[in-house]
Amino acid sequence: MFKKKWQLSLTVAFASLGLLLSLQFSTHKALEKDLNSQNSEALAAMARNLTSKYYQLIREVWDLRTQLKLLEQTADQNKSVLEAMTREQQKLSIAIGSNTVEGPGITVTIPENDINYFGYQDVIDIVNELWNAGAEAISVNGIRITQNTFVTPGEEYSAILINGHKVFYPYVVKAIGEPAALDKGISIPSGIIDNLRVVYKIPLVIEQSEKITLPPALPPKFEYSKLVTE
Amino acid sequence: MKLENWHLSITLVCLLFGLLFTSNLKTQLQEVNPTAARNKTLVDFIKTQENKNQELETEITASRKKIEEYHATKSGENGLAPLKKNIEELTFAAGLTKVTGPGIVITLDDQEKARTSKEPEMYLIHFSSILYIVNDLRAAGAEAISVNNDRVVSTTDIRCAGNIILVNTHRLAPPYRIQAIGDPDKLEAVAQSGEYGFLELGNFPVTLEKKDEILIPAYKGSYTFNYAVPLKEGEK
Repeated sequence: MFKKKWQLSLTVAFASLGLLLSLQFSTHKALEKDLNSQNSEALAAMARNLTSKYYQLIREVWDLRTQLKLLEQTADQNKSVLEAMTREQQKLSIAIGSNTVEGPGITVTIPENDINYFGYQDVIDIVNELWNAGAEAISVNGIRITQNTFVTPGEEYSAILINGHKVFYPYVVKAIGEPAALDKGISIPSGIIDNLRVVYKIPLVIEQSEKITLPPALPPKFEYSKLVTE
Repeated sequence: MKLENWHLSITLVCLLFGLLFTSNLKTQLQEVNPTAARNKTLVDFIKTQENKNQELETEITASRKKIEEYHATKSGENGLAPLKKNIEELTFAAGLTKVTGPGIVITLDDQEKARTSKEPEMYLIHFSSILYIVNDLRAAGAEAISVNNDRVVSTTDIRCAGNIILVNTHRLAPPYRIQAIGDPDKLEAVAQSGEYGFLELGNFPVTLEKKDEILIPAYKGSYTFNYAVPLKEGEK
């Protein structure tokens, strides 16, 4: 009888201890992805990115406010409404890549080389890095990058397909944006470009230019998606 | 069975022990990590900036809605209906509206081993896996993609800072949930043969589910074009 009670108490006590321990562990797990457990460089990079995004958002807010103002004006209504709508139309066309655009930017060229390392994932990485650096429009070997673009490996070793079509050396990635910012943004130490250059000895070349022209892509088609109105 | 005083005592003592033990562990954790204190300024800055950005995103969403309403009412009066229709299509294509349709839902999580291993890197989901899965889904004809609650658009960047993954500069917390609208069978097949398949082989806790209806949120960020100018020929 006494033995039984003793066992009960101990069980309860250990159960509580176990619960607390597991709680502690889950706190630990959450901490691992917490800002406080990141190193200074990671935090500094995050802070930089948030600041540049902040300026982009500010710019968008001003842009939308201007549009609203134009729409709200009563005098000469037709003209201002048309102006606001045309602006929006142009902006969205650039966003989906359906018009030809030009502007300053950079060109990243990967010439044919003997290293034979450069692959399709490097193309995905460079494009991703360029968007992060503030690129406004990108093309790879004359193909405009949109939200539908995909880069896949070819059947032969190291062949690269974009949207299912094989592309050949030299691989040329063009991006419109502030040239110096784009150049600096993608050349960060241990970034993709730095790795390709230093670790894999890929002889890639980055050039800043005052004018780059990017071709349009076909507008996307929607078969499965339906608009949700709120 | 009768509850005696000492039952309660031993429970309390153990509870107390547990509490002390855990809080002790917690303090130790902070002590082993002196960077936590050193980086406080940066962390504070990041949190403030995240709030500011979120406020701007809220304003952007509200303004877009207001503009849409204006377009709807004003274009009718002024014979701008074709332009209005075009803008509606573009808004939809640019991911600025919520969409629904059939598709797949993928979830990815870090391995338990990441917590105990000396090389946790090997057991964590990296940003590149998400980036490559998005590419695979695009190859399978995905029409709309989201990661956690962020819509993936043309200009979306997927990165990491330390071991935190960021999409559209928003911090993500695991598990990562990738949704795609399109042909569910095709999306599944292509995902299985790509990066998702690799993670599955590597014993990561991942799932893939086909769905008749998924809901993908609108893109809340900016489309700012300060340098890119459309060429006249491309316009009407």
